[in-house]
Amino acid sequence: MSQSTVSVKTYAFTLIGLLALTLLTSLLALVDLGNFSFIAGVAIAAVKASLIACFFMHALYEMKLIRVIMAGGMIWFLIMISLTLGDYLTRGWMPYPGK
Amino acid sequence: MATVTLFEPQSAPAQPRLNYLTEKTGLMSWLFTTDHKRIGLLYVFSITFFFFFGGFFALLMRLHLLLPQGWLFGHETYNKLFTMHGIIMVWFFLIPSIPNTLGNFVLPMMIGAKDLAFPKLNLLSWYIFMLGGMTTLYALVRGGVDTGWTFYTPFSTSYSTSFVITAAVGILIAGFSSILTGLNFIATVHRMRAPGLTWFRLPIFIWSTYATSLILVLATPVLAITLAMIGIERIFQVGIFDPALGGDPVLFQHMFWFYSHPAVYIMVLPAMAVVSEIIPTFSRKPIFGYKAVAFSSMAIAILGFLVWGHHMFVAGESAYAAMTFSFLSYMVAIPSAIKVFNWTATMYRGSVQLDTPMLYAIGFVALFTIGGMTGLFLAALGIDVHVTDTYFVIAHFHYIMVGGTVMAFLGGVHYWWPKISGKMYPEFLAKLSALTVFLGFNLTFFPQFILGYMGMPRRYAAYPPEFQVLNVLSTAGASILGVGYVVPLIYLMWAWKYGESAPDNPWRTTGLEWKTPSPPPKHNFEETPVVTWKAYDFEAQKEELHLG
Ligand SMILES: [Cu+2]
Repeated sequence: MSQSTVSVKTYAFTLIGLLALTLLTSLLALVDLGNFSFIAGVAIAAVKASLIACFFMHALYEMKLIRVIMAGGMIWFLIMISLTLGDYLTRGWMPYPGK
Repeated sequence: MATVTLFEPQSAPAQPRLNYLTEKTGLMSWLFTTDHKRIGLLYVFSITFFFFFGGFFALLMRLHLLLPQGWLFGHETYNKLFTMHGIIMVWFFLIPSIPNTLGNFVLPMMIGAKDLAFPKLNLLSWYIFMLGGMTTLYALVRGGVDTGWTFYTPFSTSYSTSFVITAAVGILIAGFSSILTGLNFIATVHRMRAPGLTWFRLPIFIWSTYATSLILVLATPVLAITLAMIGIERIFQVGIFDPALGGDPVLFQHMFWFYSHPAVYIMVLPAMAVVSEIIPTFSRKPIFGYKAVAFSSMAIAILGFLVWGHHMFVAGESAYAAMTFSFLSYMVAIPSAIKVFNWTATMYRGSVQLDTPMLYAIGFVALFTIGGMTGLFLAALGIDVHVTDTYFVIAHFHYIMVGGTVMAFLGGVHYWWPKISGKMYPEFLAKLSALTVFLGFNLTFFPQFILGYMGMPRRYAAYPPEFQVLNVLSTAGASILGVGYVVPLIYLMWAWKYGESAPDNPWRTTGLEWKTPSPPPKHNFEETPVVTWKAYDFEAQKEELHLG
């Protein structure tokens, strides 16, 4: 087990990064980019989540098993999203009402 | 083959040896204990209370349904009865039933550890569980909930005037207890195994409990989020599930069943764990196809996450999604079937002894098979449309949860009772009540398959007169089943005090938990065992176990 010591500086930079991205998200709401707004919003959120996982949750410094478990949680989240979207996106494909 | 004798079985110490029960006494020594064995017992008391509480509601419903118009309750009260029955049984009995009681007690002993990896976290999880339970009971006292245990939107968010949020908060709190227990078990299995105890020497109980823990950790957070979203929508009118606010009610079903289908495996994998210990012991044979049984637990845990859409075939799900979920649901039957075949093959040509735990285990295999097969009926799109929301579904999942999990729980309690209490129970009475449970169970739930197939909907407080005979049979069965549950409660308590002293290894079996005194000392083993044998290797331990 790695008793990692992450410097205060790293934490501070991560925090600043997160705050900057939050600001960016808010600014994004002011401009209309069409469909791209959604993509940009999710992309920023993903970057923020990885910053938290890597630095605050020590994913970069931990042993392999812990990283596998963290990745597992992410994969499970994607399973939920993709199979749920699998329902929403294929509605109306059948030539019967309600299917 | 080298085996380690950890103690002298025959030598009777002049002074009675102190064990985990006698080492410290008094209420405080229990409320502040970090001993996994004592915490296991705390859970036993709590879930037994919840079981009889939830069972009482079931009995009231069955009595009400003796007459077609119903005669005991108004329709609103009936709605609350089935809701509270479901909530209490699912979250406060079935989910914690085997892992938190028997799992807590025997998991560390089976791997030769002194305790779980995080003993204090273990105690904390019991307190959190009780807090959740009390919150839910508070909702009940205030007037109950009428949404069904599934909390379907938009009824739960927009229309129900009952105590939805209180009950949801109770379940959310209990969820954290599940997560902590799961984490604790995972860490324990990874880091606390005795020297020499490699993964493929582990008893199947450990594999199945490990798979259960993975589900607990991966699924429970989704339930917490879903319940929180119900609260947010109810209180702040944020549009998540309510179409009038721009939400989608079917989204709730997706998220709810993403947790609740795997939750079925949280309930049944530990039952499989118990049965996988009992059957080799009373067949005097190693489990047939060890690796297949071990990996099928993991396969169930993973595939179980991909099938939730089978609860939504008539809920507006797209035809393509329905076909996918139907196919995936068939897939998850494969590892379950592997287990059933392998348990049967384990018994084949073994010297089978029909002691009480074995009766329960065989009952489990039979009832689980019926429950599983009817699950395939329900996974088939055509049949599901016909029997959705009928008693067919009720009968199906009670075969899994009562016929499966409760049978295995009782089997496990009898199997490890000598270890837990240091006393033997009255064997004849125990066999008799095992048979009573089996008969009462089938009489209660088999008629419900027929009722459902004929079209009787679930959750109705009244029914057409043609259905009365089958309903009366079901109620008669429920009262027999009730007797079958009360009798063990009485004789086990009697045995705790007056039963004959149990030997260290009454079943002459191979697990590490039997290689230490009954009841075990505080730290389980006098010295840490070194394992050089495979699980269930009766041949290698023939001498030690006095097997002819
Ligand atoms: Cu399901």
